[in-house]
Amino acid sequence: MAIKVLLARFGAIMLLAFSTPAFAASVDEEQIKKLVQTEMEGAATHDIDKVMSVYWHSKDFVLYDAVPGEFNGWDALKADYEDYFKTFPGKPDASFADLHVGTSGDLGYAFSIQTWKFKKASGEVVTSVQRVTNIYRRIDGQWLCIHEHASIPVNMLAESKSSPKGR
Amino acid sequence: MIKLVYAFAAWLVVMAIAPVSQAGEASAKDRAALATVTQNIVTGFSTRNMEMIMSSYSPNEDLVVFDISPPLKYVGAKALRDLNQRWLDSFVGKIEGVYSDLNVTVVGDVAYGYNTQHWKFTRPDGSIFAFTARLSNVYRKIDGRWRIVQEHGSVPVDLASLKPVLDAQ
Repeated sequence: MAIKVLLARFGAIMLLAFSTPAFAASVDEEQIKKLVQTEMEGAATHDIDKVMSVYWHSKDFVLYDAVPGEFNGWDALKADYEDYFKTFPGKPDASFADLHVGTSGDLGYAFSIQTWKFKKASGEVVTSVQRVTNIYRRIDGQWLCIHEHASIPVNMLAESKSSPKGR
Repeated sequence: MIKLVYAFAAWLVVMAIAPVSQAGEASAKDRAALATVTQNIVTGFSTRNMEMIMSSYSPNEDLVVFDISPPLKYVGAKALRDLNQRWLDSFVGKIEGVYSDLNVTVVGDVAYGYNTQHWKFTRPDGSIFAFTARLSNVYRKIDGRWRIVQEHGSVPVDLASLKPVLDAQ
């Protein structure tokens, strides 16, 4: 009898735990972490379909990339990835640190610091430490990246002393 | 006992619906408030009003800023305040800033947005240091007020020369 009551209580507590918004949010956060992982794996193995699967297939996707250029829309992003695969034909080593993930309803975000060791055709390795911010929306039940911002910090105060003098 | 079961079932239904009912498009009021958050940073720099700048950010240690300048990240409001003070101290002359293309999405108490900022900082010799930065932000409503909890600001970098591109469109 006592065991039955205990089991019933345990069941009720588990039901409670798995039906709260907090639990739903942690499931969403895990899904978003997986998308960050999928994007990095796709980019590192030059698997264009894998990397593009995390992005919203829309002309309204906006990328602020670490390098110059206009990248509005899924097609422009895909072309950007293909350019990068050509520029650095060797498969890079990539790792990330300080991953933060958050969600609210159908809106999610992730930001991290990523270290990329790109390999040129000559074998030369270019190391780039980037900050990456991703914004996700759940669209038709699936989380997709709708905005990405990647960058390399620049010492602007030093730059202001060395860059050409303006008006 | 049956009443308790019904009450529990009703509670479960409410908890399941709650996140959905919070979702929705940004109200005009939220959009205006988020535009003010951006404007206060721009106006705050132009008028050298540190409190106005900082009013747009979380006052807490949870603030994370990926600034244009190194290090890779700044954590907490004090670190950002010190950074902003270095900028204000480095450019004693006029500072002008405008933002454009502000795009925001609000869901519940969280919002994200991005915009482009065009800055002109007057150097000590009177010449102008001009650049265009890209900004992405995560906002949270803290005590009824929208504030930035994460900011990512940058200028693109040419990987071949590792020089920044200051006039990105």
